[in-house]
Amino acid sequence: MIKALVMKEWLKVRWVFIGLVVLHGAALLVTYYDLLNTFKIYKANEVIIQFITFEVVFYSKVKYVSLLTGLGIGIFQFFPELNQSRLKLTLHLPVKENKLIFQMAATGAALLIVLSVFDVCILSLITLKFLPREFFDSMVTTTLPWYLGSLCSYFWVMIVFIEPGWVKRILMAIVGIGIVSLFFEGGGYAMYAPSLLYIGVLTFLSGAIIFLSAFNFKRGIW
Amino acid sequence: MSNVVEINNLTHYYGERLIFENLSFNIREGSIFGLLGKNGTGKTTTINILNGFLKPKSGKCLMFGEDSYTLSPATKARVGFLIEGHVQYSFMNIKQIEKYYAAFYPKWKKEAYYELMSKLAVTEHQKLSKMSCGQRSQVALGLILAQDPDLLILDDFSMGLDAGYRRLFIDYLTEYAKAEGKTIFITSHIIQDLENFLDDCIVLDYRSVLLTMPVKEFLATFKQFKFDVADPLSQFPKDNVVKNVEKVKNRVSIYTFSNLDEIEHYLNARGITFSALQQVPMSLEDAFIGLTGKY
Repeated sequence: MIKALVMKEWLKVRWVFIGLVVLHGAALLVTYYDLLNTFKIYKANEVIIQFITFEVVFYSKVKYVSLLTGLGIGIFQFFPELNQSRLKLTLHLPVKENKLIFQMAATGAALLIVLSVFDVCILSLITLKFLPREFFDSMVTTTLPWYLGSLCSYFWVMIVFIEPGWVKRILMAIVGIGIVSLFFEGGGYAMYAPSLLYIGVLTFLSGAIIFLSAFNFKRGIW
Repeated sequence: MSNVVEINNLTHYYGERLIFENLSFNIREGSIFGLLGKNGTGKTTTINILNGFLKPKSGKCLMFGEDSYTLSPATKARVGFLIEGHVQYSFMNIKQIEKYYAAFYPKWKKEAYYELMSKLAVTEHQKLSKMSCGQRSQVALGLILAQDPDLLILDDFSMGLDAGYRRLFIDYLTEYAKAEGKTIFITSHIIQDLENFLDDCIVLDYRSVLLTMPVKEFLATFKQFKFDVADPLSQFPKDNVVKNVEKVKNRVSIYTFSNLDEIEHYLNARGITFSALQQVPMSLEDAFIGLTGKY
């Protein structure tokens, strides 16, 4: 049963997922070559001082690619469900409705996590190749808010698409944009480190709101 | 025989707009029940409530004895649902969609689906999005037949189908329902397709129910009389006798549950001078239009 649901979700997003893998790969490749060229032109200590003093995050391209990933997976996964109210087909299956919604969200979230882990692994290799260990340590806390933001944007796309009424849908979109933007504000290394717990909670709560939209869809609140 | 569906005093509004009030009807096990009505009379709303996709403002809707809004997975497995427009997952192909649904239904009959697919000029790997509307309708029907549900809910199966596919759909359903003793709840905007198919019907008007009865009884008791009147300004207000009236100059058509003698008596009692009174045979579509009116 779970395998069948995962297959359905995968069929919807497979091409956009492959496209996103290429995009992530390209962003990481550009990051690698930028760093390689920088270290060719400048002395290592100059580069490191520059990075620290001016808080130049050399992998900042990943930030917007992460946001695009959450939005892309969400749109491609849930537009077909919104179109002609296909979600009714899923909710009519002989499985508890919340379980179905959870499994749909979990499939999309799993794909986002795969891409995030892929990014972190490659970024780790790049960082450890060129920079001291401290940069590697801060890389996780710097990028984690972006990946959580990617997950959060995915959840909000899902909320907006499942919500049945246009007025509520627009309101949810505005709230979603506000919340997701919190994850991508500012720059610098490990800037969000003190508030990681809060943004983690915000991501979790965003995920929980999906069930409210599903409830509204089923209840037919327009 | 028990009732598969029981609807009692169902009332629903969209905002301030009343869709229907105190709608009540039952669907007998093994019967084919038609929900008939013009556009906007609440057919799809009723189906959405029945499938648990809409909470009514008041009233009860039971399916297999369970509140339709909180159906258990076991009961949902007993209900096959065709969404208006034969909506299915158009990004899947013939094989993928069968494999997908098979995982959810323990009584899945793969052969019923592929038997129907063999009649279409399609390959296993053809996507639904690349098929004609008629072909997609057969895929949706095949999936429902493979599910082997006890109750089939079919919302406007005729939408977008040409006469051939409509006939194919009905022929398949008739054979299946009669052979397997299934219950069918169907709506369609093309009434003529349902004439020899339905056992019982309910006719909805805007905000109310016009009629609930077996189709045979409806066709036997609901009549159309045509006659000429001397005075073209004669009025025929709707009452217990006249259910609907159409008038073109001095030619009048009255739709009624009364017989010829009663109509003659009715006209004489009102002092209406008439001639050439005759009963006109009606199809189900004629009777439906006669009851609901053309507008």
